[in-house]
Amino acid sequence: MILLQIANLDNKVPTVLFFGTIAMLALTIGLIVFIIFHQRKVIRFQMQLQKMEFDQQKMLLNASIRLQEEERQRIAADLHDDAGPLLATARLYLNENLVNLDKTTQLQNIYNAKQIIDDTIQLIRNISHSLMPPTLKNFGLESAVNDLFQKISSSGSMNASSRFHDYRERLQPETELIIFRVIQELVNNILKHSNASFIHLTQNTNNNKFFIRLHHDGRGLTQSDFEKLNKSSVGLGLKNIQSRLKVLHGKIFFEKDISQTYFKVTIELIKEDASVPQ
Amino acid sequence: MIFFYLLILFFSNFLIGAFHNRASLIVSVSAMIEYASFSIFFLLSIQNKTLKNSIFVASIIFLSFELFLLYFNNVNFDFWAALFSTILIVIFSIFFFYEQINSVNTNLIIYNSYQFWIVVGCIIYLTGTLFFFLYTSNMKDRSLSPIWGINFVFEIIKNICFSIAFIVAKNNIRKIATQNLEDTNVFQKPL
Repeated sequence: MILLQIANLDNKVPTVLFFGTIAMLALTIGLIVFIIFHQRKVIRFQMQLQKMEFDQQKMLLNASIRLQEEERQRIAADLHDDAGPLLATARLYLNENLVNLDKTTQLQNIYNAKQIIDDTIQLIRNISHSLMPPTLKNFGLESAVNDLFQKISSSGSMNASSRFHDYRERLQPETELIIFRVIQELVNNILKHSNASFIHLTQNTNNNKFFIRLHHDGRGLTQSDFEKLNKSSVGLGLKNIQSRLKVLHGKIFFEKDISQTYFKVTIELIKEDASVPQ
Repeated sequence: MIFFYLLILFFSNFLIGAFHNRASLIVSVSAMIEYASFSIFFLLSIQNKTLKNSIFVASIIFLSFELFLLYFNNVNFDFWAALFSTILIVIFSIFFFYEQINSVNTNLIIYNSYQFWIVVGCIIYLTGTLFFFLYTSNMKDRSLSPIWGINFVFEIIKNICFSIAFIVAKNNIRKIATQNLEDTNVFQKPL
């Protein structure tokens, strides 16, 4: 009503012109306000995403630090609990009093010390192999995986087999080590939690992508389980897998087979990122 | 660019006062310059190539059409010029806003960029005066019209927005300069 009165004020400004101008102005201001609010919403959303990503990164970093510390503790424990006593025993056999003993006892003591030192060498070799498997270093991923699976199969608790379909050229040594560690972690999880009777690993490439698939018939994870565990404070091994694959720009998918009898884990990598530079 | 446009507008207002009999022609030419200035501003501000090309093509077609109308001394020149220039500038503004929203650097709030204030000034002025120009398109000299004040009101709003744009631009330059100075201050950094 007030607007109409203003519009008809001395009939100076015609009603059509007045309301047309007001309507256009309202539309324009509406558009500007909408843009500002929409942008603020987008910024808020992006900041939230950034924060989530930051939290996730922090969690992965923490997991990797914790894992590194656990590994160090394990090595320290192995050295302290196994190598330490063995070397101490060897030292006892080779003490200063050895020269005063009769020849037979001397020989027996030296033989015992030699046996203990051999055991210690074997122990240190095992620790070193667990840090960097020599098969992986010398013969590549395929041989290292076959070796690992053979050991599992020979234990008799599970049937493990692997088949590499397209692995003519070796990948970069660091990439092979990361993939091997991921496979080790997955296999370790299967052994610990799945109660499976077999594991089968296949490797192939498709459209510049490198795939590794693990099948097993035990209790497994689906992608949603994996994501849930990845966001929670538990599941250190899974976080470690995720952080390792992040280095290679790789992806991992956990799913149940179409037949609903097997669980399938697929590791996907870009071949160019993984192969040895020419 | 905007400063150049404001200068032309300032002189055209003087010229209208001086040559009342040629006022219609002066207004038409300044409207064309106004449209050209705005579209060049959008061409410089928008990064997307497809949007840039569409602005360029639309502007060339529209300016040719205006020149054609002006050459044949068409009485409806102002009507079509006001209508199409407003529609085109509003579309270009939407292009600009669309690009700003989808920009990667979305941490910068839109009203902290000087381009935003120029675009706001442009569209408020053009949409606010659209009905006025359509209504007075048949008049020989619209500056004599009793409702000429509408144009003044929106010109003031536009100039306020442009002034804010200049202040924002100056502040942004100062902020960048201070940031660069902080980055290059070796005395504060441990060696």
